[in-house]
Amino acid sequence: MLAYLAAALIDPVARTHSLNRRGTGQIELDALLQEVAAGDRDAFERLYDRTSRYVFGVLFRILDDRQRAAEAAQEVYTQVWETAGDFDPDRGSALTWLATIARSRALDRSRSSQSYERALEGMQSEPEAHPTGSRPENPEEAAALRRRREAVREAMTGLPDEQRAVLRLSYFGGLSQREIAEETDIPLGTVKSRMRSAMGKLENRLRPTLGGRG
Amino acid sequence: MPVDDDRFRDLCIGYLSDELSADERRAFLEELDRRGAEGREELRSLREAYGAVSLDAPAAEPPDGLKESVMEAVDADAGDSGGGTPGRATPSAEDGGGGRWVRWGLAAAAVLLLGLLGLNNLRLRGSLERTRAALDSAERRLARADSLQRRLAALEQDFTTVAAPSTESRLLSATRDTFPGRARVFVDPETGRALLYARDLPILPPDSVYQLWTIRDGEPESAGTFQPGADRQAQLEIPTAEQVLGADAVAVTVEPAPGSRQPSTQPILVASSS
Repeated sequence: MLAYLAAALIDPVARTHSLNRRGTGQIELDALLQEVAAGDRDAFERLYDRTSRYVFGVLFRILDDRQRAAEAAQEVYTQVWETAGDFDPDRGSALTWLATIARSRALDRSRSSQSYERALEGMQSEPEAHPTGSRPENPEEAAALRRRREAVREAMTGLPDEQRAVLRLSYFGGLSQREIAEETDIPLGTVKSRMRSAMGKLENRLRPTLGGRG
Repeated sequence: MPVDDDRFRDLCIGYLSDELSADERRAFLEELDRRGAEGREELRSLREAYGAVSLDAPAAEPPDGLKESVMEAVDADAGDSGGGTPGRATPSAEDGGGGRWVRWGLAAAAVLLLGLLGLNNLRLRGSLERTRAALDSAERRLARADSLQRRLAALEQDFTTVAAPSTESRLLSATRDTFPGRARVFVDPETGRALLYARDLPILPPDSVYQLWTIRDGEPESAGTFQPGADRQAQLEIPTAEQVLGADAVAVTVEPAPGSRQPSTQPILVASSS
């Protein structure tokens, strides 16, 4: 009876594998944030050195103004110092936590002055690379971040244009899906399905690079 | 009312991009609570994917002086909290009152003042965020109460099915002596309802689920997935009574979340047709 059931039930092709692992750099950032939460100033300085180019890049992409990006960066890092204890590695990675704060602070500033037209113009174009200076940094960690960035850029490039545009308008432009629908004259249902599809593809393509719980 | 997977993902995305209305937010938190570990893992995965979009922005060198300014604010905060403020010059009358020292003093005071104003702003923002978290918590409790009320109504309905005179049942036995779990399928042909009750099930890791299959003419068909609660018990409503009544066998396997199209592991519980 069991042999019959086993034959009927087992299809080795259907087996799926879930590789959930977190990179070394990600775990180090998690640990640094926990030290910052304990009030360790040196850990905070190391965190700044390791993440400031990344954070400033996000801020500059949203605000398109170095002065305002610098003001926002000051807010971001002061908030990190104040609220590092709120970071919960079970809810997401340190990099995602930092990105959420940076995006939020930049959009606070952006919404007060930027028109949707400007957001639309800026967010649908390809981002330009910026010189990143020559300050020394941990080469292993820099390489890990570079690999992640390359994987994300590749995954974004692999998305259909209309899905990539919707994702950028949402993330960097801070537009709600309803606002995107109004501004681009596309039905809201289409915007939602594009967004859902884009997110699903990113999840699948980035899973081996970004990892998950574990 | 439970929402389908696409709607749940829409709500997750809206939550992450901070664009849900109060009603949507409540529906999302309720559904997240209903889905338990599986829902939280899906939200986490989407959060990582959405956060990864930040890496689409090229890295950029921050301006000179930003780091010093940030560290000044941190040192000011440490001083404000009773800690030391290493390296900070404190101008006083003993400095001699020269113009250069006055300018340095004013500059340092301005930096300190800006830092403190920034921190005060952040404290207010922190207070706002804490209030919002408290509101979220209250909404979650309210959603939990609604959810418990619906659960009670569902249990009453299940009891009616299990206790009906027309109800038939099949016991699923473990295929290995070492597996502690047991399950029974109840089918009421009159109402068309079919239920699975399982107990003593080992808790699975978050990336796995139990999946119920009915087998007819050698072809397995999924009847749903389930996870035991902390009490190691689980219930599952099977889509139709016919699926069980027409089956040659019923079996349970462990599958990768959120479930498989075809079984991929040996069955751990089985019941053949009597």
